[in-house]
Amino acid sequence: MLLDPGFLIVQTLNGLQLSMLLFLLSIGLSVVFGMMNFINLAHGTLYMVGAYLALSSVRWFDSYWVALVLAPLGVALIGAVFYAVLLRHMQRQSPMRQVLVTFGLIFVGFDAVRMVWGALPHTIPIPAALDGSVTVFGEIYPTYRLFIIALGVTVLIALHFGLERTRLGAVVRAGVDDRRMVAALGIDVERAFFLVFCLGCWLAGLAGVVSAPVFSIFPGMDMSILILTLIVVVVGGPGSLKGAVVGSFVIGMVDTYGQVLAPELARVTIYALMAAVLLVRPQGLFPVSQAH
Amino acid sequence: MSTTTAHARGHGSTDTPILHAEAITHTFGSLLVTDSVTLELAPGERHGLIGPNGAGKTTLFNIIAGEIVPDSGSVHLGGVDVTRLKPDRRARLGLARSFQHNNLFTDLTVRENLSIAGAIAHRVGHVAWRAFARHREVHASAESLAVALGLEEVLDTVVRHLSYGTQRQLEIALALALDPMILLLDEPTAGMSPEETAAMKAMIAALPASLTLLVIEHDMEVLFDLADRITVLDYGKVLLQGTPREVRDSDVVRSRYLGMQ
Amino acid sequence: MIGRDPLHLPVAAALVIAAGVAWYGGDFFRHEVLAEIAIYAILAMSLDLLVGYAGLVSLGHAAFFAAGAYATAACTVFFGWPVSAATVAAVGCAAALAAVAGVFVIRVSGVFFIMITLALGQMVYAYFFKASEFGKDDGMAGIPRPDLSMIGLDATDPQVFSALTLIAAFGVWALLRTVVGSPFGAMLVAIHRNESRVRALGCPVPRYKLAAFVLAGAIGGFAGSLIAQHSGFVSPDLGFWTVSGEVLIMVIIGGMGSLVGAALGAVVMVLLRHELSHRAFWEAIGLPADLASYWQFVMGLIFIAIVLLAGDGLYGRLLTTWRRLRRS
Repeated sequence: MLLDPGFLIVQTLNGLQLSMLLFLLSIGLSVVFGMMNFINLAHGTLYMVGAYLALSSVRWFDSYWVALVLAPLGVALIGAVFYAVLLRHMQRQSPMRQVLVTFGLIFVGFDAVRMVWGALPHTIPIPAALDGSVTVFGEIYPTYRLFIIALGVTVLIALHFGLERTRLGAVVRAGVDDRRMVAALGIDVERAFFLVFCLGCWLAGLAGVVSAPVFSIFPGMDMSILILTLIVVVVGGPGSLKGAVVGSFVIGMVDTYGQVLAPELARVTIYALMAAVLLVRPQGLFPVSQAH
Repeated sequence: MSTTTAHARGHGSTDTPILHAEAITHTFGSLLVTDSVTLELAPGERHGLIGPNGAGKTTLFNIIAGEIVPDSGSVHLGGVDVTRLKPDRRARLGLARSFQHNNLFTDLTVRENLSIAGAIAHRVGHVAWRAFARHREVHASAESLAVALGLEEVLDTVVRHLSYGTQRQLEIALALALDPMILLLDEPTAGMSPEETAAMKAMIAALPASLTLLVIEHDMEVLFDLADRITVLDYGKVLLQGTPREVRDSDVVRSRYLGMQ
Repeated sequence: MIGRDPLHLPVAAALVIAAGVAWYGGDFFRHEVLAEIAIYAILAMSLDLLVGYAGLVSLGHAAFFAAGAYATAACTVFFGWPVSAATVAAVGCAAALAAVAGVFVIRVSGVFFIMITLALGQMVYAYFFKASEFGKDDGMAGIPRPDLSMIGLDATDPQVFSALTLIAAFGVWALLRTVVGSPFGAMLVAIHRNESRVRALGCPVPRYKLAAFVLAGAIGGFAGSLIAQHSGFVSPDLGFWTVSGEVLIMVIIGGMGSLVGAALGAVVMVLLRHELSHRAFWEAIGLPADLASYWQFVMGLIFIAIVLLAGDGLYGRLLTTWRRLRRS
C-alpha cells in the first residue's frame, strides 16, 4: 500500500488538510499560552460554534462565502465578550483556575448549541465553485480540500509577515519572550493580548467554517479536535509560529497515516509520538527561550 | 550540633581535595561565562570567590552544585566524579548550598523548614506509613540546629514574617541541616544591614573548623577575614588565586577590582 | 506535621455521622446515590493527594478510574475471577498504568502538566473506545458484586453495597491521612512549595512525584473497580476527560489539600448532578422542567462560579471561620 504512489499522494494531501485545520486552531492557542501562560480549553468550543454559525449563515444568506466572512467574526466577537467578562478578571489566578473556568465553558457551550441548533448532526454543502475535483499528480482529489490547504498556507504566510513586520507582531514576540520586560518598557501587553486572543478565536471560527462542509456539525465535535490541538501545542512547543506549524504538520500527517495504516491503534500513535517528544524535549520541539 | 562529624565520613585524606573543579568551561549562547576555571579546596578550607558582576561566580556555583552541566570540565566531590550528577545526588554526597536570593518554604514555620531538611538528612523522606511527628530524632536535630544558630526564638514563626536577616540565617541553617562536608554560600550577607552583616559574619566564623566552605561575597572585608584562600574571577577567567594578603596586595586585582570600589 | 489542620477530625466525624444517618433511613434510590458519592469521594481524595499536596494538577485522573473499572470487568467477565481478586488486580493495573505514564508526565510541570495528563486521559479513553475486545464504545456488562454470602449478606442489595463503599471511602481516607501525615507527605508538600530548594537539599524529587502519582493512580483504580461493581457495566465514558475535570472541581469546591474537603466536594457535586438532571427539581423551584435536559449548561455555569468564587473551597472557608471565631 505504501509503495502505491496514488495512495501516498491522496493520503499526504489528506494529512496536509488536517494539518492546516490544526494549524488554524493551534496557533491562537499556542501564542496566547506563550504570552500569558493561559490555556483556553474552550478553544474547541469556538471551533464548533464557528461551524454552527456557518450553518445558520448558509441557511439565511444561502451563501458559503458570506458564512466564511460572518461566522469567524461572530466567533471573534464571542471571544471578545468572554475576554471582557471573565478572562480579564482572572489573570492573577492560578493556571489551574483559569483552565477550569474554560473547562466549565465547554459544558455551557455544548448545551448552548444543543439548545439553539438541536442535538442532530448537520452538514452544509460545499460551495458550487469548489464542488468538483482536480487531478493532482495523476490522482483525482476534491477541489474543496485543496482549498482548505491553500487557505491554511495563506493564513500561515500572513501570520508570518504579521509577526515579523508589524508592531503588534513585535510586541507579541517580545511578550512571549519575557512578558514582564515588555510591560516594564511601558508597552500595553494587555491590549496586545486581547487582540491576539480575538485573532485566535477568529482563526478557530475560520477552522470551524472551512471544516463544516467536510465533517458533520454536531454538539461534541469540539472534543476530539481540541485534544489534537493541545497535542500540537505540546509537541510544537507553545508560543512560536514555527512550533505550531511543525507540530500541526507532524500531528496531521501521523494521525492521517496512522488512521489508514493501523486503524486498530486508534490515536495511540499520536500519544506515543507526544510521549516520545516529551521524553527528549520536555518543552516541545521549538521551545521559546525564556529570558531569565 | 553534629556538623563536626562531617569529617568523619572518611572522604579523602588531607591531600585529596574535597572539591575539585577542573578546567570548567561554559557558555550561554555565544557568551563565554566560565573559561577553564580550576578550583581545588582542601578539607576544612575556607575559600572565597570574588569578582565583579558578570564574572561568572554564580554560574560556577551552579555548575558545582549541579544546577548546570558545564560544556566541558569536571567536578569531583571527595574524589567522586559528580560532573553529570543532579543537584540532589550531590547534596546526598555531602554538598550543601545556600542561595543568593532567599529560597525558603516561606509559608511554613522555621521549625517546619528545618524539619523538612532534617527528614532528607535523616533519610526518612520516603517513609509514608509512620507519622512525621513521631520521627523525634528529626525534630530534635532541627531544634538543636535552631538553638545553635540563634533561631530558637522564632522556631514557630512563619518564615515570611521573619526579618530579612533572619531569613538569610535560615537559608544557611537549611543547608547546615544536611550535615554537609562542604557548604557553598552564595553572597550570605547580600542586602543586609551592617549589624546583620556582623551577625552573619560571626555565625559563619563560628561554623565547625572541619566544614569546608566556598563563599561568594561582594563585601571584601567579610571575605578577607573569613577566607583562607581567595579566587578572583574576571570575565569567566581566574585572575588570581591566593591568600587574602596576596589578593589584597596584587596590583592586577587592585586595578581590576579593588580600584573600582 | 506540616501545616496545621485542626478541623479535619471533627469534619471527618461529621461526614461519617451524616453518611450513617443518610444510610440508615435510606431507600433504594438514596443508597444508590450514597454509593456513588462514596466512590467519587475516593476518586476525589486520591486526586487531592496529587493536586492539594504534591501540587500536580492532573486533568487525566479518569484514566485510572477507567483502567480500574475495565480491569475489574475483564477479570470477572473474561476470567471468572472472584470480585475480591479482580479488585486487587484493578488496583494493580491502575498503579502500573500510573507508573508507566508517570515516568513521562512528571517531566513537565504547570500548565504543561495539565495538558499532558489531559492527553493521557484521552489516550485511555480512545483506547477503550476502539478496543473491540472490550466492547468498543458499548463497553462491557455483567460485572458482579462481591460475594458476601459467607457472612450472610447480599451485595446486590443497594443497602449492603452502599455500606461497603462507604466503609471503603473511610478506609481510603484513613490511608491517605496516614500518608499525608508522614515524612513522605511532608516531602510532597515541600516539593509543592519550593521544588528547587527540596532538590538542593538532596531529595530526589522525580521519584517522590512518581510515587505520589502511582499511589493516586492506584486508589483511582480502586474507585474505578467499585464503580464497575456498582453499575454492573463499564463504558469508555468513565475515562472521558470531563470526568477528570469534574473530579478536579470536586477537589476545588471542597478545598485542596484537605482530604475531607475532597470528600465534601464529592458530596456536593454528585448531589448537584442528580438534582439538576431531574425534572422534579426544576419544577420544585418553579422553573421549566425542560432545563433538566440542559443540566450541563447549568452545571458549567456553576463550575465557573465555583472556581471564581470558591477560593479555598468549603473546607478552607470552614477553617477561616473557625480561626476567626477562636481569635475573637
